[in-house]
Formats: sequence, C-alpha cells, structure tokens
Amino acid sequence: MLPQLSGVNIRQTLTQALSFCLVLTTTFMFWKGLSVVTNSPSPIVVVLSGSMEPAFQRGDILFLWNRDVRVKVGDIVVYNVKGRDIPIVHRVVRNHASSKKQLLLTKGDNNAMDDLDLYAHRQYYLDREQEVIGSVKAYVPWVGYVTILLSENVWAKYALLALMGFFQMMQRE
Amino acid sequence: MPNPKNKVNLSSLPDLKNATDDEIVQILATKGYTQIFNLIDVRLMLGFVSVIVAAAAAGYDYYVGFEKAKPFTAIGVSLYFVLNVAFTAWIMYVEKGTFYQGSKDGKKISIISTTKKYSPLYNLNVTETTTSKSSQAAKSFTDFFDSNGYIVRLPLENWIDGLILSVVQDDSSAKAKGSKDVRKRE
Repeated sequence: MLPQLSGVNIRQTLTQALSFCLVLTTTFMFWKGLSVVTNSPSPIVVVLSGSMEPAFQRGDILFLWNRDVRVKVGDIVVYNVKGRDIPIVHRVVRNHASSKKQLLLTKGDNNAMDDLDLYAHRQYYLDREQEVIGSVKAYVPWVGYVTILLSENVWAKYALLALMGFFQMMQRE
Repeated sequence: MPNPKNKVNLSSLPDLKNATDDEIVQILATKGYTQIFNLIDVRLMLGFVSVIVAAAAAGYDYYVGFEKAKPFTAIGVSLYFVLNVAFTAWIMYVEKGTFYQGSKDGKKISIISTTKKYSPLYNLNVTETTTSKSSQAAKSFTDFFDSNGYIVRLPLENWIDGLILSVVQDDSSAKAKGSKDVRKRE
C-alpha cells in the first residue's frame, strides 16, 4: 500500500509545481510572443523620468511597435544608447534618411537641450535600425509606478515572486 | 485520533471535493486496487514539456540576444501555445474530471467526481472501462463529513463499494443468484 500512495504523493507535488511553473512560463511566453509580433525586444516600457512631460509622466506604461521601416519626425520613440540598458523615451526632432538607413536626433519635450549629450562618445545621431526599439503607439497612465517601486528595491521583486509562488502552492483547485 | 492537518473547510467546495477524492483514492488502495496513472502522467508530461520549451526559448534568447534569437523565439512561442492547447484539451475532453483509475482482478474502473457551485452534492460516476458499464450517484457532503470538518471513512466506503459492485458485477451472476436488486440499490 505504501509504494502505491507515494506514487500519488509524488504526482500531487508535481501537479502543484506544474501549476506554479505554468503561471511563470505563460506570462513569459505572452511577453515573448508580443515581442516577436511587434519586433521589439521590449514591447512594453515604463516611463522612468519626467523628460516628456506633460505628455508622459513617470510611471506611465507605453506600448511600442517596431515594424515601421522609417520613423517620422514628431513620433515618440524609445531607444537604448549603444552599450547602456536604460530605455529613453523622447521625440524625434530631426531625421536623415537614405535608402540604406535612417539617422535620428531626439529630444525630450521637457528638456531644454536635445539628446546629443546622451548619445555615446562621438555619436551625433541614432540609428533607427540599431538603437530604436520601437515607436509609441498607445499608453496607459500611472499603472507602471509599481514596477518603478519594484525595480528600486531589489528584494521587492523576489518577495513578490515568492508570494505568488506560495499562494499557487496553497491552492489546489 | 483525528489529525488536525486533515481538517477540511466545510464552506469551501473545492476543499471538500479534493478531500473526498483523496479519501476515495486511499480507500481503494486498501481494497487492493492498483492505481493506473496514465491520465495524470500524460497531463504532467504535456505540461512539463511546454515548461521546458519555454525555458529553452528563454535561455537561448538570454544568451544570444533578441535579434539573433527571434526566429527560435517565434517557434518556441508557437510550440508553447500548441502544447498548452493540447494540455487544456486533455484536461477538458479526455480527463473530464476523472480523478482515479485503477484495476483489480481484471476489472478496470474509472471514477469521475464533479461538484456544482453552491450545491452540497458530490456527484460520482463510476465506469468499468472494458464493459462500459457505468453507475452514477450523488450524495451530499454532509453524509460523510462531521461538523468539525473531518471526513468519516465508513459511509463513504460503503457508498463507493456499492457503486463499484454495480458496475463490476456480471449480469449472468446476478441472474443466477436471483438478486437483481443488487444493482438497483445505491
């Protein structure tokens, strides 16, 4: 009888572990799926600074689309400067386009100067293909503030994940 | 004697159903039934393979970067979607609430339990899979849970015994004994 019941117990544990894993992997796959569809490595970003006020406030969530071959002057784009990880959300103020590539100059609405100082050393323009990860097509205000809080406290992310996992294991529906 | 860990929340229908399902599994183990895990194993495999696919896509994307990994990420997402649809289809159309399958003496039984929201009834459907004979019955959870939330094995055991007997028994032997009543009894 004992070996029989341990077969039941292993499977029960595995079933609950599976439920937990599926929550994580489904969320992740939705994110990756959205990434592939929009062609952007980060299709949803949170506004981190006030440089685009009054259009965008810190904590707004932006939805990006990266399949426009050429970006227009006046569009708001998100870019990563070569070598840096922080996405910057600014407006395109100047562009030079050839058949091979498009070079952009950006500036935050709320900034006095354009972004020249933000670019890499001796870099005067952004490359639309290499550095722009998408143009902003839609936004939701405020909701992203939670992620700002989470990213500013390292332990908060792990605490939240641990809490999610704990509640998944406790449920057995 | 009752173990406080086994106390069940009498107001929670899922808790009641899960506790009764678990108790029936134990009852059948003591009666010499060998549990067949095929349904559960296929479900676990479908689930874990999809998790592995997701992990592989995640790992590859992390190591080579978004641009290089894009085609594989697309494949990974599609495969994950297909596997998850299969997983859900398996649970909805194949398992259909079956929580136990077991065999004894050449007879294989399959038991499905269901509950309806806001109803205290526990519905059981016992099927003998080789003859496709099945027996359905429902009892209120009050018939085998005491007011403190502990399950009482005996009434549950007698009930499940009767149900199994009704599907496992051959028609010929029932006629020979001249007791057709056996199958009519719940």
